[in-house]
Amino acid sequence: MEQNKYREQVQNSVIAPSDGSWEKLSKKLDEYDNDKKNNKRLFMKYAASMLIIISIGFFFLQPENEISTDEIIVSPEAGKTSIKPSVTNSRHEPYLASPTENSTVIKMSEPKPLANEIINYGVEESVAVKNEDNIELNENSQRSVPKYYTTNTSKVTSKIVQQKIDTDYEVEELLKNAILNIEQNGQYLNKTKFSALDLLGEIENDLERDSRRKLFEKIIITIKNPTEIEITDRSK
Amino acid sequence: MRKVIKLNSETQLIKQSLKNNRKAQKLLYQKYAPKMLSLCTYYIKDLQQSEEVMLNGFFKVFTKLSKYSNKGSFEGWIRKIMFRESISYLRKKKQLLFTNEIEIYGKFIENEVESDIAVEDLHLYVNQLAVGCRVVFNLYVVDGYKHAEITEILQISEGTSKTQLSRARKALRKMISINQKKYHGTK
Repeated sequence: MEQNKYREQVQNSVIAPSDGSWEKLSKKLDEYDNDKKNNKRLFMKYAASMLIIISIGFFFLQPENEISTDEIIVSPEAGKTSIKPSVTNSRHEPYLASPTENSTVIKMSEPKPLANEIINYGVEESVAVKNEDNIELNENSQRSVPKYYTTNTSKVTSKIVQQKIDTDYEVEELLKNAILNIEQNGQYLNKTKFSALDLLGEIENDLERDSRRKLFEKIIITIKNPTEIEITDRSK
Repeated sequence: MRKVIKLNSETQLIKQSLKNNRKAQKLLYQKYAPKMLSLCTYYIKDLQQSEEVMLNGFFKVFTKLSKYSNKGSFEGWIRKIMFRESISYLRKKKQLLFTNEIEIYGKFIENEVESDIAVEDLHLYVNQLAVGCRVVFNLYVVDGYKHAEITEILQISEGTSKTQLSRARKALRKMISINQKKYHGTK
Protein backbone atom coordinates (compact mmCIF):
# COMPACT_ATOMS: atom_id res chain seq x y z
CA MET A 1 0.00 0.00 0.00
CA GLU A 2 2.76 2.36 0.94
CA GLN A 3 4.54 1.50 -2.24
CA ASN A 4 1.49 2.51 -4.27
CA LYS A 5 1.18 5.72 -2.30
CA TYR A 6 4.80 6.52 -2.89
CA ARG A 7 4.49 5.58 -6.55
CA GLU A 8 1.49 7.82 -7.03
CA GLN A 9 3.21 10.71 -5.36
CA VAL A 10 6.40 10.25 -7.37
CA GLN A 11 4.52 9.87 -10.63
CA ASN A 12 2.55 13.06 -9.97
CA SER A 13 5.58 15.05 -8.94
CA VAL A 14 6.58 17.65 -11.50
CA ILE A 15 9.67 19.65 -12.35
CA ALA A 16 9.21 22.50 -14.81
CA PRO A 17 11.58 22.28 -17.76
CA SER A 18 13.81 25.23 -18.54
CA ASP A 19 12.65 28.03 -20.85
CA GLY A 20 13.34 27.39 -24.48
CA SER A 21 13.32 23.61 -24.07
CA TRP A 22 10.38 23.35 -26.46
CA GLU A 23 12.17 25.53 -29.02
CA LYS A 24 15.13 23.18 -28.86
CA LEU A 25 12.88 20.22 -29.46
CA SER A 26 10.95 22.00 -32.20
CA LYS A 27 14.19 22.84 -34.01
CA LYS A 28 15.31 19.25 -33.76
CA LEU A 29 12.00 18.05 -35.15
CA ASP A 30 12.21 20.55 -38.03
CA GLU A 31 15.68 19.30 -38.93
CA TYR A 32 14.44 15.75 -38.82
CA ASP A 33 11.53 16.59 -41.13
CA ASN A 34 13.85 18.38 -43.57
CA ASP A 35 16.23 15.42 -43.59
CA LYS A 36 13.33 13.11 -44.22
CA LYS A 37 12.15 15.24 -47.14
CA ASN A 38 15.66 15.47 -48.54
CA ASN A 39 16.07 11.73 -48.27
CA LYS A 40 12.79 11.28 -50.11
CA ARG A 41 13.92 13.67 -52.86
CA LEU A 42 17.29 11.97 -53.07
CA PHE A 43 15.59 8.60 -53.34
CA MET A 44 13.31 9.91 -56.08
CA LYS A 45 16.29 11.35 -57.94
CA TYR A 46 18.13 8.04 -57.74
CA ALA A 47 15.04 6.15 -58.80
CA ALA A 48 14.46 8.50 -61.74
CA SER A 49 18.08 8.32 -62.90
CA MET A 50 18.05 4.53 -62.64
CA LEU A 51 14.87 4.41 -64.67
CA ILE A 52 16.41 6.64 -67.34
CA ILE A 53 19.59 4.54 -67.47
CA ILE A 54 17.61 1.33 -67.75
CA SER A 55 15.36 2.69 -70.49
CA ILE A 56 18.36 4.04 -72.46
CA GLY A 57 20.14 0.72 -72.06
CA PHE A 58 17.06 -1.13 -73.18
CA PHE A 59 16.76 1.15 -76.20
CA PHE A 60 20.37 0.73 -77.33
CA LEU A 61 20.74 -2.95 -76.56
CA GLN A 62 17.92 -4.00 -78.82
CA PRO A 63 19.02 -6.28 -81.72
CA GLU A 64 20.17 -4.42 -84.80
CA ASN A 65 17.74 -5.14 -87.60
CA GLU A 66 17.36 -2.85 -90.50
CA ILE A 67 13.92 -2.25 -91.73
CA SER A 68 13.71 -0.72 -95.12
CA THR A 69 11.45 -0.69 -98.11
CA ASP A 70 13.44 -1.68 -101.12
CA GLU A 71 11.06 -2.58 -103.87
CA ILE A 72 7.40 -2.18 -104.45
CA ILE A 73 5.86 -4.99 -106.34
CA VAL A 74 2.44 -5.51 -107.76
CA SER A 75 0.53 -8.52 -106.66
CA PRO A 76 -0.35 -10.39 -109.83
CA GLU A 77 -3.66 -11.66 -108.45
CA ALA A 78 -5.24 -8.67 -106.78
CA GLY A 79 -3.34 -6.11 -108.73
CA LYS A 80 -2.73 -4.13 -105.57
CA THR A 81 0.60 -2.69 -104.52
CA SER A 82 2.55 -4.62 -101.92
CA ILE A 83 6.06 -4.64 -100.62
CA LYS A 84 8.68 -7.19 -101.42
CA PRO A 85 10.04 -8.69 -98.20
CA SER A 86 13.70 -9.41 -97.92
CA VAL A 87 15.48 -10.36 -94.71
CA THR A 88 18.93 -9.39 -93.49
CA ASN A 89 20.35 -10.61 -90.24
CA SER A 90 23.99 -10.21 -89.37
CA ARG A 91 23.77 -12.84 -86.63
CA HIS A 92 22.66 -15.62 -88.96
CA GLU A 93 19.44 -16.03 -87.07
CA PRO A 94 16.16 -15.69 -88.78
CA TYR A 95 14.68 -12.53 -87.41
CA LEU A 96 11.41 -11.01 -88.37
CA ALA A 97 11.36 -7.29 -88.05
CA SER A 98 8.55 -5.40 -86.41
CA PRO A 99 5.54 -5.87 -88.56
CA THR A 100 3.81 -2.71 -87.50
CA GLU A 101 3.89 -1.14 -90.93
CA ASN A 102 2.94 -2.39 -94.31
CA SER A 103 6.30 -1.28 -95.61
CA THR A 104 8.17 -3.91 -93.62
CA VAL A 105 11.04 -5.50 -95.46
CA ILE A 106 13.13 -8.16 -93.82
CA LYS A 107 16.64 -8.76 -95.04
CA MET A 108 18.71 -11.89 -94.49
CA SER A 109 22.23 -12.81 -95.47
CA GLU A 110 21.62 -16.56 -95.47
CA PRO A 111 22.10 -18.54 -98.70
CA LYS A 112 19.28 -18.14 -101.17
CA PRO A 113 18.70 -21.41 -102.94
CA LEU A 114 15.12 -20.66 -103.72
CA ALA A 115 15.95 -17.41 -105.35
CA ASN A 116 18.53 -19.07 -107.56
CA GLU A 117 16.25 -21.88 -108.55
CA ILE A 118 13.42 -19.57 -109.22
CA ILE A 119 15.62 -17.51 -111.49
CA ASN A 120 16.77 -20.68 -113.25
CA TYR A 121 13.21 -21.61 -113.96
CA GLY A 122 12.69 -18.20 -115.38
CA VAL A 123 10.42 -16.77 -112.72
CA GLU A 124 9.99 -13.04 -112.73
CA GLU A 125 12.22 -11.24 -110.28
CA SER A 126 9.42 -9.08 -109.00
CA VAL A 127 7.87 -12.01 -107.17
CA ALA A 128 11.06 -13.74 -106.10
CA VAL A 129 11.01 -14.22 -102.35
CA LYS A 130 14.45 -14.57 -100.87
CA ASN A 131 13.44 -15.77 -97.45
CA GLU A 132 13.57 -19.45 -96.92
CA ASP A 133 12.34 -19.16 -93.32
CA ASN A 134 9.06 -17.57 -94.12
CA ILE A 135 7.66 -20.08 -96.52
CA GLU A 136 4.78 -22.40 -95.84
CA LEU A 137 4.33 -25.02 -98.49
CA ASN A 138 1.19 -26.26 -100.09
CA GLU A 139 0.98 -29.92 -100.90
CA ASN A 140 0.57 -29.16 -104.58
CA SER A 141 3.64 -27.00 -104.76
CA GLN A 142 6.03 -29.44 -103.09
CA ARG A 143 6.80 -31.15 -106.37
CA SER A 144 8.48 -28.16 -107.88
CA VAL A 145 9.81 -26.51 -104.70
CA PRO A 146 13.25 -27.48 -103.39
CA LYS A 147 13.59 -29.74 -100.37
CA TYR A 148 15.16 -26.86 -98.51
CA TYR A 149 11.75 -25.40 -97.70
CA THR A 150 10.21 -28.48 -96.19
CA THR A 151 12.92 -28.87 -93.55
CA ASN A 152 12.35 -25.43 -92.14
CA THR A 153 8.61 -25.29 -92.35
CA SER A 154 7.78 -25.91 -88.67
CA LYS A 155 10.48 -23.55 -87.47
CA VAL A 156 9.33 -20.87 -89.79
CA THR A 157 5.67 -21.29 -88.98
CA SER A 158 6.28 -20.67 -85.28
CA LYS A 159 8.09 -17.46 -86.07
CA ILE A 160 5.57 -16.20 -88.51
CA VAL A 161 2.93 -16.41 -85.78
CA GLN A 162 4.74 -13.62 -83.99
CA GLN A 163 4.21 -11.26 -86.85
CA LYS A 164 1.20 -9.11 -87.31
CA ILE A 165 -1.62 -10.30 -89.49
CA ASP A 166 -0.98 -7.75 -92.22
CA THR A 167 2.58 -8.87 -92.85
CA ASP A 168 1.63 -12.52 -92.65
CA TYR A 169 -1.04 -12.00 -95.18
CA GLU A 170 1.32 -10.15 -97.49
CA VAL A 171 4.01 -12.79 -97.22
CA GLU A 172 1.53 -15.56 -97.80
CA GLU A 173 0.14 -13.76 -100.79
CA LEU A 174 3.56 -13.28 -102.27
CA LEU A 175 4.52 -16.89 -101.65
CA LYS A 176 1.34 -18.18 -103.19
CA ASN A 177 1.91 -16.01 -106.21
CA ALA A 178 5.51 -17.12 -106.47
CA ILE A 179 4.54 -20.80 -106.24
CA LEU A 180 1.80 -20.32 -108.82
CA ASN A 181 4.25 -18.65 -111.15
CA ILE A 182 6.75 -21.42 -110.60
CA GLU A 183 4.16 -24.00 -111.46
CA GLN A 184 2.90 -22.13 -114.50
CA ASN A 185 6.33 -21.44 -115.84
CA GLY A 186 7.42 -24.93 -114.95
CA GLN A 187 4.66 -26.40 -117.17
CA TYR A 188 5.62 -24.11 -119.99
CA LEU A 189 9.28 -25.05 -119.73
CA ASN A 190 8.40 -28.74 -119.69
CA LYS A 191 6.46 -28.37 -122.95
CA THR A 192 9.33 -26.60 -124.66
CA LYS A 193 11.72 -29.23 -123.51
CA PHE A 194 9.66 -32.12 -124.86
CA SER A 195 8.84 -30.29 -128.11
CA ALA A 196 12.55 -30.21 -128.91
CA LEU A 197 12.64 -33.98 -128.93
CA ASP A 198 9.52 -34.01 -131.06
CA LEU A 199 11.17 -31.57 -133.35
CA LEU A 200 14.12 -33.90 -133.77
CA GLY A 201 11.77 -36.76 -134.49
CA GLU A 202 9.87 -34.68 -136.97
CA ILE A 203 13.11 -33.68 -138.69
CA GLU A 204 14.18 -37.27 -138.89
CA ASN A 205 10.83 -38.22 -140.29
CA ASP A 206 11.07 -35.47 -142.85
CA LEU A 207 14.52 -36.61 -143.91
CA GLU A 208 13.38 -40.17 -144.19
CA ARG A 209 10.37 -39.15 -146.21
CA ASP A 210 12.51 -37.00 -148.49
CA SER A 211 15.04 -39.76 -149.17
CA ARG A 212 12.23 -42.18 -149.85
CA ARG A 213 10.65 -39.74 -152.25
CA LYS A 214 13.97 -39.24 -154.11
CA LEU A 215 14.48 -42.99 -154.30
CA PHE A 216 11.05 -43.53 -155.71
CA GLU A 217 11.60 -40.73 -158.25
CA LYS A 218 14.85 -42.38 -159.44
CA ILE A 219 13.16 -45.73 -159.69
CA ILE A 220 10.39 -44.22 -161.74
CA ILE A 221 12.87 -42.42 -164.07
CA THR A 222 14.88 -45.57 -164.53
CA ILE A 223 11.76 -47.51 -165.36
CA LYS A 224 10.61 -44.89 -167.84
CA ASN A 225 14.04 -44.43 -169.54
CA PRO A 226 16.01 -47.60 -169.30
CA THR A 227 19.74 -47.03 -169.86
CA GLU A 228 22.35 -49.50 -170.87
CA ILE A 229 24.53 -50.43 -168.17
CA GLU A 230 28.10 -51.20 -169.08
CA ILE A 231 29.74 -53.61 -166.86
CA THR A 232 33.46 -53.24 -166.77
CA ASP A 233 35.68 -56.09 -165.98
CA ARG A 234 38.03 -55.07 -163.23
CA SER A 235 40.14 -58.13 -163.53
CA LYS A 236 41.50 -56.83 -166.75
CA MET B 1 -12.33 28.92 -45.89
CA ARG B 2 -10.14 28.46 -42.88
CA LYS B 3 -10.31 25.11 -41.18
CA VAL B 4 -10.57 25.19 -37.40
CA ILE B 5 -9.00 22.27 -35.60
CA LYS B 6 -10.10 21.62 -32.05
CA LEU B 7 -7.31 20.38 -29.84
CA ASN B 8 -9.31 19.69 -26.75
CA SER B 9 -8.89 15.99 -26.24
CA GLU B 10 -5.71 13.99 -25.98
CA THR B 11 -6.79 11.87 -28.96
CA GLN B 12 -7.09 14.99 -31.10
CA LEU B 13 -3.68 16.14 -29.93
CA ILE B 14 -2.15 12.79 -30.84
CA LYS B 15 -3.86 12.76 -34.25
CA GLN B 16 -2.64 16.24 -35.06
CA SER B 17 0.84 15.47 -33.74
CA LEU B 18 0.95 12.56 -36.15
CA LYS B 19 0.37 15.08 -38.94
CA ASN B 20 3.36 17.07 -37.68
CA ASN B 21 1.15 19.82 -36.30
CA ARG B 22 3.63 21.72 -34.13
CA LYS B 23 0.94 23.33 -32.02
CA ALA B 24 -0.49 19.97 -31.06
CA GLN B 25 2.98 18.67 -30.35
CA LYS B 26 3.71 21.68 -28.19
CA LEU B 27 0.51 21.15 -26.23
CA LEU B 28 1.41 17.51 -25.63
CA TYR B 29 4.89 18.54 -24.60
CA GLN B 30 3.58 21.15 -22.18
CA LYS B 31 1.23 18.62 -20.68
CA TYR B 32 3.73 15.86 -20.03
CA ALA B 33 7.18 17.49 -19.91
CA PRO B 34 7.13 18.43 -16.18
CA LYS B 35 6.17 14.91 -15.11
CA MET B 36 8.69 13.33 -17.43
CA LEU B 37 11.46 15.60 -16.28
CA SER B 38 10.71 14.59 -12.72
CA LEU B 39 10.85 10.95 -13.74
CA CYS B 40 14.20 11.44 -15.48
CA THR B 41 15.67 13.07 -12.40
CA TYR B 42 14.95 9.82 -10.51
CA TYR B 43 17.34 8.03 -12.84
CA ILE B 44 19.81 10.79 -13.64
CA LYS B 45 20.98 13.01 -10.83
CA ASP B 46 21.90 16.06 -12.86
CA LEU B 47 18.89 18.23 -13.81
CA GLN B 48 20.43 19.53 -17.06
CA GLN B 49 21.32 16.07 -18.21
CA SER B 50 17.89 14.90 -17.18
CA GLU B 51 16.38 17.61 -19.36
CA GLU B 52 18.54 16.59 -22.30
CA VAL B 53 17.42 13.02 -21.87
CA MET B 54 13.81 14.15 -21.59
CA LEU B 55 14.08 16.16 -24.82
CA ASN B 56 15.57 13.16 -26.58
CA GLY B 57 12.71 11.11 -25.20
CA PHE B 58 10.13 13.57 -26.53
CA PHE B 59 11.87 13.60 -29.90
CA LYS B 60 11.39 9.86 -30.03
CA VAL B 61 7.80 10.24 -28.86
CA PHE B 62 6.95 12.54 -31.78
CA THR B 63 8.92 10.68 -34.43
CA LYS B 64 7.63 7.24 -33.38
CA LEU B 65 4.12 8.35 -32.57
CA SER B 66 2.71 6.13 -35.31
CA LYS B 67 3.82 3.13 -33.25
CA TYR B 68 1.56 4.10 -30.40
CA SER B 69 -1.28 1.61 -30.69
CA ASN B 70 -3.78 3.26 -28.27
CA LYS B 71 -3.40 0.30 -25.93
CA GLY B 72 -2.88 1.59 -22.43
CA SER B 73 -2.49 5.21 -21.47
CA PHE B 74 -0.50 7.62 -23.57
CA GLU B 75 1.26 8.79 -20.42
CA GLY B 76 2.36 5.24 -19.65
CA TRP B 77 3.75 4.93 -23.19
CA ILE B 78 5.73 8.16 -22.78
CA ARG B 79 7.01 7.06 -19.36
CA LYS B 80 8.35 3.86 -20.89
CA ILE B 81 10.21 5.82 -23.53
CA MET B 82 11.58 8.16 -20.88
CA PHE B 83 13.00 5.59 -18.50
CA ARG B 84 14.41 3.58 -21.40
CA GLU B 85 16.04 6.72 -22.68
CA SER B 86 17.43 7.39 -19.22
CA ILE B 87 18.84 3.88 -18.92
CA SER B 88 20.35 4.11 -22.38
CA TYR B 89 21.96 7.40 -21.39
CA LEU B 90 23.46 5.81 -18.27
CA ARG B 91 24.74 2.91 -20.36
CA LYS B 92 26.34 5.29 -22.82
CA LYS B 93 28.08 7.08 -19.98
CA LYS B 94 29.13 3.70 -18.58
CA GLN B 95 27.55 4.56 -15.27
CA LEU B 96 25.20 1.63 -15.13
CA LEU B 97 27.34 -0.96 -13.36
CA PHE B 98 26.11 -3.75 -11.16
CA THR B 99 29.26 -4.64 -9.24
CA ASN B 100 29.33 -5.81 -5.64
CA GLU B 101 29.16 -2.44 -4.01
CA ILE B 102 30.58 -2.09 -0.55
CA GLU B 103 27.88 -1.56 2.03
CA ILE B 104 29.06 1.63 3.60
CA TYR B 105 25.89 2.13 5.58
CA GLY B 106 26.51 -0.66 8.03
CA LYS B 107 23.84 -2.41 9.99
CA PHE B 108 20.54 -0.82 10.78
CA ILE B 109 17.49 -1.64 12.76
CA GLU B 110 14.20 -1.35 10.89
CA ASN B 111 12.29 -0.24 13.93
CA GLU B 112 14.44 2.83 14.20
CA VAL B 113 13.01 4.31 10.97
CA GLU B 114 9.88 6.40 11.04
CA SER B 115 7.38 5.66 8.34
CA ASP B 116 6.44 9.24 7.46
CA ILE B 117 8.81 10.86 5.07
CA ALA B 118 8.36 13.42 2.33
CA VAL B 119 8.62 12.22 -1.23
CA GLU B 120 11.20 14.89 -1.97
CA ASP B 121 13.32 13.70 0.93
CA LEU B 122 13.20 10.12 -0.25
CA HIS B 123 14.10 11.34 -3.70
CA LEU B 124 17.18 12.97 -2.25
CA TYR B 125 18.15 9.74 -0.52
CA VAL B 126 17.53 7.71 -3.63
CA ASN B 127 19.85 10.03 -5.51
CA GLN B 128 22.58 9.17 -3.04
CA LEU B 129 22.43 5.51 -4.02
CA ALA B 130 24.83 3.89 -6.45
CA VAL B 131 23.51 3.99 -10.04
CA GLY B 132 22.72 0.28 -10.28
CA CYS B 133 20.80 0.29 -6.99
CA ARG B 134 19.01 3.48 -7.89
CA VAL B 135 17.86 2.27 -11.27
CA VAL B 136 16.60 -1.05 -9.95
CA PHE B 137 14.89 0.69 -7.01
CA ASN B 138 13.18 3.22 -9.32
CA LEU B 139 12.09 0.56 -11.76
CA TYR B 140 10.72 -1.57 -8.95
CA VAL B 141 9.20 1.03 -6.65
CA VAL B 142 8.44 4.05 -8.85
CA ASP B 143 7.54 2.37 -12.14
CA GLY B 144 6.21 -0.83 -10.59
CA TYR B 145 8.11 -3.41 -12.63
CA LYS B 146 8.63 -6.98 -11.42
CA HIS B 147 12.10 -8.52 -11.17
CA ALA B 148 11.50 -10.60 -14.29
CA GLU B 149 10.72 -7.43 -16.26
CA ILE B 150 13.70 -5.60 -14.78
CA THR B 151 16.01 -8.39 -15.89
CA GLU B 152 14.74 -7.92 -19.44
CA ILE B 153 15.06 -4.16 -19.38
CA LEU B 154 18.52 -4.04 -17.83
CA GLN B 155 19.72 -7.39 -19.20
CA ILE B 156 20.80 -8.65 -15.81
CA SER B 157 19.97 -11.78 -13.87
CA GLU B 158 17.02 -11.88 -11.52
CA GLY B 159 19.41 -12.52 -8.62
CA THR B 160 21.33 -9.34 -9.42
CA SER B 161 18.10 -7.39 -9.59
CA LYS B 162 17.00 -8.67 -6.20
CA THR B 163 20.42 -8.03 -4.68
CA GLN B 164 20.47 -4.47 -6.00
CA LEU B 165 17.02 -3.78 -4.64
CA SER B 166 17.87 -5.25 -1.27
CA ARG B 167 20.96 -3.11 -1.06
CA ALA B 168 19.02 -0.01 -2.05
CA ARG B 169 16.43 -0.72 0.58
CA LYS B 170 18.99 -1.24 3.31
CA ALA B 171 20.92 1.85 2.33
CA LEU B 172 17.82 4.03 2.27
CA ARG B 173 16.73 2.81 5.67
CA LYS B 174 20.13 3.56 7.05
CA MET B 175 20.18 7.04 5.54
CA ILE B 176 16.74 7.88 6.81
CA SER B 177 17.66 6.61 10.25
CA ILE B 178 20.80 8.69 10.37
CA ASN B 179 18.96 11.82 9.22
CA GLN B 180 16.16 11.36 11.72
CA LYS B 181 18.69 11.04 14.48
CA LYS B 182 20.52 14.08 13.28
CA TYR B 183 17.62 16.48 12.75
CA HIS B 184 14.93 15.18 15.03
CA GLY B 185 16.96 13.60 17.74
CA THR B 186 15.08 10.32 17.58
CA LYS B 187 16.71 7.03 18.48
